[in-house]
Amino acid sequence: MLEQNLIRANEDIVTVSIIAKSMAWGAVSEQSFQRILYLVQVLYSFKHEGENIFSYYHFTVTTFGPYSDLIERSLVFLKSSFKLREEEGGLILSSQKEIPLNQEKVEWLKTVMYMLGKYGEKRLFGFIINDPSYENASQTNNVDGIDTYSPESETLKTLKDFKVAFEQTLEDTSAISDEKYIELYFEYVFSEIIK
Amino acid sequence: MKARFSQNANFKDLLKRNEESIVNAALNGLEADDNFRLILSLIKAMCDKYADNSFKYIIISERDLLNLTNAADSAIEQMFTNPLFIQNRHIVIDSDFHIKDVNNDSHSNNNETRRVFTEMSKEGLVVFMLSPEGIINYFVNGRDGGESIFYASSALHSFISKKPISELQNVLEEYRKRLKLRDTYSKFFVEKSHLKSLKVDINSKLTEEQFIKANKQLLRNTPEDCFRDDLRLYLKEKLNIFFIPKEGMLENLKRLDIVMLDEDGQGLYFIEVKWVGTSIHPSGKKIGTPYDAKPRIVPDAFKQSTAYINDLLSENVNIKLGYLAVFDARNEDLPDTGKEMTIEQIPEEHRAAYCRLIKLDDFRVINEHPN
Repeated sequence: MLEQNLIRANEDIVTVSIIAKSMAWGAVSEQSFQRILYLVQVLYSFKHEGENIFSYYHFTVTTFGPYSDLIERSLVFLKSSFKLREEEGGLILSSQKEIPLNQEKVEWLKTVMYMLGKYGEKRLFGFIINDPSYENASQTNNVDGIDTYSPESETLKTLKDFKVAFEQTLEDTSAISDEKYIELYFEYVFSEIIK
Repeated sequence: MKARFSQNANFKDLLKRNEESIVNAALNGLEADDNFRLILSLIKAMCDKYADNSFKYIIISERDLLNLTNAADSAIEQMFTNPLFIQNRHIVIDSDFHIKDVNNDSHSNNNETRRVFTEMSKEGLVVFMLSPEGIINYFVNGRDGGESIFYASSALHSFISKKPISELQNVLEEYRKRLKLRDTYSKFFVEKSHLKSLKVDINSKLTEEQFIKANKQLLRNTPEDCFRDDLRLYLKEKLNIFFIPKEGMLENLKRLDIVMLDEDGQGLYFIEVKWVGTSIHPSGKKIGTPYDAKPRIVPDAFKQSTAYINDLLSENVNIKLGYLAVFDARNEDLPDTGKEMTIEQIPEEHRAAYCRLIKLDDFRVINEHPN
């Protein structure tokens, strides 16, 4: 019987594959699954109260970005059970019928992926290496992994401060949603990438 | 925390200057709609897949945009490969990405184009403007959107014009030309004023002029740092790749001189930087040991670089290629430092990794006019 976290990761990866297909990304590389789920987890608490619904991922730093062993195991499982197949240097979904999807997760994955879609799959790595939590963990060689979901995570602190700058400067920020702040923050990060 | 936005006066000025644009974009419900973000993602994916050297203007009604087909991914691909789409500049589509109308009209200039589309977008239409570089702008609700407040479009254009890692060798040919410029090469060599004091320090019998001429190829102390930094800066400017700074390197990479990841962060490349010639002693008061091609480059540098590749392969790192770059500051024009290298000089257990090592032609540096 599969452990609970592996079932959750399987659902997430299938969801990412479905959304990626809807965005015409074609085959998604294994690195991209790691990177998307990392960003989804690290950004979650900026918009949502309560427990992080992606808290079962534990990411460590590698040269190519964050790495979660659970995601790796899930990819192996989904490939060996033929739910994902390799094509064009990445993975695509063979069938989406058998795995029930959690709507709350679908919505958040869709939100983050659509925002990233404006820049394309190839640009994901740029957002990763400019992510404050990832950057902090890689510079301090943190062996415990990356702090992705505590209120003290560098990403959350940075995003909150980003929002404060808007609130202190603009007369009325009531129209700017938390999602919009993330979108604007991505734009800011992209400006750093292209420097 | 990396950046304190709330304490950055320049950042806040930028926000203040763009207040209207930020608030208008936030108030526009259409831009926050999933379908709007989806169509932007789809167009971006298609621009990446199907390069086009002309401008395209995709026009869709707001109503159709809010009711995009569930099969948008395949529908947009059909549209991008449709000869009508390829041949025309203006393409009017419906919610199924079916082409409803086309024309090839052109506008007198960029300002005129933007004015026309801004007006159209007041009438319930959304216009996506695709540039030949794959940059997407849009016009919605009478607003010229898509331009970021955080970067100028010129910065984006120059980023897009950067070359992929596959162009590395061509970029390095350009770098070779730059090494002939005085501003570039002079920073590698000991300055004239230092040579004059060195002549005194070592009690040379030559005249000052003779001494400078005889020692103009004398490199600064730790020249490998100068060469490495100069090369890295140049490549960063020209290539669309990620450089891993020393402080961000994991232990297994720290020994490598220049580490690069390709544009999507999937494959690793490195450049091992070496030099031959003579540098000044760390004390600055005498001439250091001269280094020649043998054994410094052949076989030592080849063996060392191949061992690095071998180690990375065994650590399951997706290492693509390693390059060996030798800066040649010797007094005479001599054959390439890698000329006499053969695979037999590589330890047998590392030979499989040797094919991933590319010896670049020497980077000859000549101090034509000492500073």
